[in-house]
Amino acid sequence: MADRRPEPDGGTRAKRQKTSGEMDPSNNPYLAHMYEDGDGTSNGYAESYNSAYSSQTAQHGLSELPRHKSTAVQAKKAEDGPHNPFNGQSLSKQYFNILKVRRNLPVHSQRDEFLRMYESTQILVFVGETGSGKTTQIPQFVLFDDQPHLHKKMVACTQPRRVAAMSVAQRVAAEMDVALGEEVGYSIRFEDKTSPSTMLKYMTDGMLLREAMNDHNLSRYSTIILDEAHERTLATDILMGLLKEIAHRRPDLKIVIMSATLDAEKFQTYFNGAPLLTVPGRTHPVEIFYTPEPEKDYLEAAIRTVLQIHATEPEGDILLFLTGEEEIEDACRKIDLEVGELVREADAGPLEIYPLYGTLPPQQQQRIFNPAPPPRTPGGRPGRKCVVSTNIAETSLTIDGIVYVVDPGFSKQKVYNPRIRVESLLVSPISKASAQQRAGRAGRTRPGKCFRLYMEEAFNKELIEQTHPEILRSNLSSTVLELKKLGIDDLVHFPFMDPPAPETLMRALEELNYLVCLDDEGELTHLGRLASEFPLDPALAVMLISSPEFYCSNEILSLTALLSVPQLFVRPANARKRADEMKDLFAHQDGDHLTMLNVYHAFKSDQAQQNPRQWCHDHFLSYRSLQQADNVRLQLKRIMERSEIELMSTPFEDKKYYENIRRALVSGFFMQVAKQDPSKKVYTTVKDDQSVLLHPSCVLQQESEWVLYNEFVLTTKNYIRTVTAVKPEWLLDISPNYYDVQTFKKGEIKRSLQATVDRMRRREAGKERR
Amino acid sequence: MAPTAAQDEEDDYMTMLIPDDAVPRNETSIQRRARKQREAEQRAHPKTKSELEREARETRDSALSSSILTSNPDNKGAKMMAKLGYKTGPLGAGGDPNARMEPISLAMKEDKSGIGHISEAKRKFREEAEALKIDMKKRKVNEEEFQERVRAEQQEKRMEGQLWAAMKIAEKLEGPEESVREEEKPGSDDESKLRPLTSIPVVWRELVRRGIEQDRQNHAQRMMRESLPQARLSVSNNLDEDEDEDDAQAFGTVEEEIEEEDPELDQFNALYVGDRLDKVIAYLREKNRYCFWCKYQYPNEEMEGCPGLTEDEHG
Repeated sequence: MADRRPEPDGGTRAKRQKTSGEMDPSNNPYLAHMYEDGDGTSNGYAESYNSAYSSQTAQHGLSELPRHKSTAVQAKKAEDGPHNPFNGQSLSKQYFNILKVRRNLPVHSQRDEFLRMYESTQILVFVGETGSGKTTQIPQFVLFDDQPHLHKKMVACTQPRRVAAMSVAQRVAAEMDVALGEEVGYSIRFEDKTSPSTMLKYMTDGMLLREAMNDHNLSRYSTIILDEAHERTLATDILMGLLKEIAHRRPDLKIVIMSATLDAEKFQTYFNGAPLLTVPGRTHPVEIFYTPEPEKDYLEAAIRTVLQIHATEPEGDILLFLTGEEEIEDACRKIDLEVGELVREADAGPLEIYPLYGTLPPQQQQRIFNPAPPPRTPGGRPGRKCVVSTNIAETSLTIDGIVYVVDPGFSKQKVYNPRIRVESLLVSPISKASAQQRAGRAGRTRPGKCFRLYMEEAFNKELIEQTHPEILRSNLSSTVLELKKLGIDDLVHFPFMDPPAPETLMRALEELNYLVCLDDEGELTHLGRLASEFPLDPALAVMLISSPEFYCSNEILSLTALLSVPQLFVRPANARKRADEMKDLFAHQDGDHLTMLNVYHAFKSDQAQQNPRQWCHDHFLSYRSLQQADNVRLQLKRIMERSEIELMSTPFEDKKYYENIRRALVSGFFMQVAKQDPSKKVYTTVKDDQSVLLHPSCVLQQESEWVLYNEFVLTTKNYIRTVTAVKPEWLLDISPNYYDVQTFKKGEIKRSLQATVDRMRRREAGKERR
Repeated sequence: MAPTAAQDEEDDYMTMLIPDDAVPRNETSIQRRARKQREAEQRAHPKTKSELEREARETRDSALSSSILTSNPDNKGAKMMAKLGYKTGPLGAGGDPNARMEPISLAMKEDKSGIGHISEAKRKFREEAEALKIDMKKRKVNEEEFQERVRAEQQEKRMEGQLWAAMKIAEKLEGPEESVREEEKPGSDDESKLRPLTSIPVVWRELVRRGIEQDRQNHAQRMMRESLPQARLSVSNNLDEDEDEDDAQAFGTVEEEIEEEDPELDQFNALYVGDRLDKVIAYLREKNRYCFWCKYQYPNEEMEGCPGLTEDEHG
């Protein structure tokens, strides 16, 4: 392969065509949060700002535009200044620079069409390919017509991801020449960057759902835009069901459903035949190649394909889709090794390889926007970059310059199964829609090629049409609690776009009942109402609320925050042993929860806080996660204070210090308990009787008959992860309903629990006699 | 000894656990030794890692394949669902025929095989299995045929034997009156004195015909043996052809006689051996009140005591 490298034709030798404008990541709305220094630092006027002034000037700025009757021409005039139509300030030079770019976006040519449809209907379905500008422009189009600030309302635009909500808000603030957090703001879990003057709010779909819990009609909003609806997140699905009903109650509310894929019919049907507007994206044709035979090893085939493209195809960057961090790092290493040989033996150009996955630090994620390397010698073969990514590069991140896509056809997906109550990330075949989306990534800059590492027949026969929406793959206990709080009583007939399996609802109800969040009739209890105030899983919320009973609410608060952020412990492939040694410094013999708490306490020590970043680096800990945990803790603390939940600690010297924490854990996680088998080799989960192993990351040092776990994960084996030792007496004591021995199946667990009951009774009797 | 206690613990024994209270109170030393040994064996043979993994997978798969809605009606969640108005069928506002009843299945991918690789392997395996199955079927058919044939042949052989036996009985029963052959010396030259073969009932005529044939052959052989020295002489002495002709004539007449046309017999012989046997047996019953299966000649027409016509009826 390497020797039969064709002579590159003149075209590929030509100068790289990408303009600096296209390559400049500061123009990428998803990365706007990384360029804070450049944009929107000046908010000198913010202090003198008041809403009366705003409404006056705004009225002035938009006085030519009749609400819900405005045209693109009128809006254009207002946009052209010289004063900001929303706050009366004079517009900056940068504003006009950006305006020029904005007017080149595909959506701009259809502004009038959009307005006419928006004005004439309540619900509109809008389809725009990624890159059409819909996320940044449509909300602004709406602002000019809807003028929410003049009616004490807001426009909401939801995003499935926090990062997108933040970045897009930042970008749009810059486009509108306003300070982020003023006219344009964002709201994500644990962070609210809005002010009374905010008229356009980007927010996660989950946040809008939480707002609906306290404001069933979402009366603060005059228009609600659900963006990226095609991603079908759990929150977006629930919101669609809610909006369907709210639309009846509020004829004044306008709703725009935005999707990036062409399967808009489903949305139209769901919203009773809502009209559709399609804006074509700026895409080039993509030629698709299939393999003549199924691949025995897709990873090996993917690496081979990347190398082949590099050796034989004309200039253009490569995007390879793989499933997860480990696989991606492995592939990057292998490609790098092979490319060296290709360069030496076949005079191939240089190849820069970048991994991309969610847990990668932002600075490293940003490297994917680096331009491809130049030829090694002037006039030599052009270099290229190869991005090896999870499916975050499928829709949420756009990398310009990609001409070749390599698609092995797999991704990691969360799957929940109520039958054994397991929620796991599993490597699964992607859907046809996903495959098309991936292929489309090759046609962003110029005509491209997509190499599918499977046969065309397999594409047709083995891939499902659409990826299963999240609601079908999730534990619904949080959602059910939210729905109850939203005032939805008929959960069974809620208009789900794709109804989940009945068993999933049944499990959720059962779990909430055992957690005493719902009573036997399915009604919210006081505890349930309180728990729904917390943006947490019900088990975590209940644990937090119950923690004062165990005199350790401070510690449980920290622990809850730590359990809500990504992995604390960093374990780089090249320093596993050192990382493990460092982890051992914090290890607590009774388990991982207490170990995490040790980490947090050490992180908060004066010594660590002198240079926390360095301290984390030295101890193989994720600074980002710990910082995030700190923030989450603060937000949760506010909710606790508001709900009058007492914050307290058992003195550290007290020998019950750790025991109290472990008991408090039981109050939330009593349904996630496993007992060691007499053989001492495996554990069996309580009630579901699944055989599980302790995850290799567990620190549990002594043999513990009963353990509580945070997660049940499936790989090729069944594992429980984040594990702490507990005592059967606590289980019986703290959750007598769940541990009603009569209801247990005959077997080792029942026998052991019965023995514990008898022992407790004898002890009790003994006490009384004395 | 406490048999009731032992019975109570039967379930637990099935789960391969030795509960503490399974020990009968009045255990004999032999029982104790047996129990200790059993326990020690279990300890000495802990399950291997792969056994445990397989078991874990099996319990997981079996749990994943059974609905918790139906398997456990006492479940709290099921009761709450019922209170919320759930009866059967999928959730949702209704009207969606594709609404989901089953949770999404968990498919664990254990290797790096590409899309379509497993189904391709399965397809190949299926094809091979299919081919093998057809082959096996073919072979099996042949085998069955062979066995059937062997069985049929054996059956025929047996019936042939019975047929001859029946004919001999008929000859014995009827022979003294009807057959003149007995009176004649077998191999007697004067065959014209014999009753014509056709006068013998067709059902046992073959026996006679064969008898005659046999006699002739025996006679011819004897003749030949007797004539041998002469023949040797004639060969050596250049005997003329007349004598040869005589010899030939001697054999030839036998041939002639036997080959005498007897369409009735030919017709009878063309029947299947079982049918011939039936006919002989029926003949014996009718003419001689003799049951071939009872091996008894009944004194009267009623043949009282004979269970029936067939061998099966005679057990």
